[in-house]
Amino acid sequence: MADRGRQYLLLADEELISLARTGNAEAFAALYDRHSRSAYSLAYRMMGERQSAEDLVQDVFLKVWRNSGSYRAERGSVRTWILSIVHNRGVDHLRSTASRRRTQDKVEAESPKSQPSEAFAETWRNSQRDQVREALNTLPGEQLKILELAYFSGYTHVEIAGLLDLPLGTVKGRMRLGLKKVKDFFDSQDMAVPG
Amino acid sequence: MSDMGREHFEDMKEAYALGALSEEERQEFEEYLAYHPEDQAEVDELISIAGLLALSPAEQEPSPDLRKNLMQTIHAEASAPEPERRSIFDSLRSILGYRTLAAGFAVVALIGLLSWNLLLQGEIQDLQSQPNVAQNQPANANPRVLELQPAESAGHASGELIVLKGEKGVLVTKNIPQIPDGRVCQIWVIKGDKPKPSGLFQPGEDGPVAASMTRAPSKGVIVAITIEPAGGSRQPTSDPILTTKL
Repeated sequence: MADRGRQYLLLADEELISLARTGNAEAFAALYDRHSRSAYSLAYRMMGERQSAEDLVQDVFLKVWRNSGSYRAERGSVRTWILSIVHNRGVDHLRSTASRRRTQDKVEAESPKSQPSEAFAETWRNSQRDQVREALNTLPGEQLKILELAYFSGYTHVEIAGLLDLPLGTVKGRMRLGLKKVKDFFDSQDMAVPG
Repeated sequence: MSDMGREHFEDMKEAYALGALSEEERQEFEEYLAYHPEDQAEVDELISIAGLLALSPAEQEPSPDLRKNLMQTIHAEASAPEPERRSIFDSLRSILGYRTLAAGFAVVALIGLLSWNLLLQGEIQDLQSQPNVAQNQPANANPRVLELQPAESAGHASGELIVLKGEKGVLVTKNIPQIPDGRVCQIWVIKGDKPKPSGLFQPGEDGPVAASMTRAPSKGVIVAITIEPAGGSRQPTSDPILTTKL
């Protein structure tokens, strides 16, 4: 059993998702172990509290299990796919319950619980995470804030304009500049945008 | 065709990539994209960049109980019979595969010819009275009528795809099982293995419901309906309940 589990550690995400599609629960467990932390971190950032974040992650991984056949490699990595499901369902939840809270400060104030990993793949993922954080650090605060309100809190651009008491055109302009700056960061480092 | 012009597209694309459009704006934007596939790559790139934000939060560790509970469900489903494990394409194959195209068209033709005057005339008249549906279609336009094939899970659901002049598609569905709150029926046009969102509608509690398609049902495509979260999905997240092949 342990050996079999170890074998799955060596498989690429695409192979794991193919196996999961055939009903292989161990392959799915390996996928969960590989990506649950990223998924949960995003869910927690959006929901702002543990129980809602766990409910969201459980919901997302069940969806991944039941709809693994809908993954399309040409549209991005498995991790990107899983995180996009977390994001989309998180936004749905925030908008449908109208219980949206501005969680940024609360979440940012808590200390991260990063755990060391022996796996090279995990190191690589962490490296990408560092690159992304570095890219976001290049943004002026007012641009980053707008991207975060949109992406993590599920606000529409019109709502953000109202919240920040800014003209809608300014909000759109900052979104445009913010995303462009992130792209420029990766271009300037001769790095591809992680997919 | 969307009223949204190029300038409006340029104005909205970043908000779309960040998921910061209202539902109405999002649908309008996707309708524009459907008619301007040349802009899709630019939007995909923006979505990739916006998606990087997902990697930025401080790392948090989910509780071991989450894994335990999830895997209990997974193991139970893994040992259960097949039905929930199929993808949209597996399902389409099983739904459409054993019905040959010829037989399908025969059924379509028979049902279409016999029932069209009785059933759909009235519905098309209703549709013509609605804005955005069958707009500008002359009363004597000669529509094609294709029967939608229900999945096993769809109960007594039935429906027909009416292809009006100019490849405008209208779906008329009946008896779709009640769907949970916060869900909608989403129409897909599937070309090759790429499903494209093609409209949303709520099934009626009684009587047929008509929904116009935002994407033309051109020859060779599959038209399918799935149940999706409110507002629709970019890709199908559930198996189709009704399908037909053109």
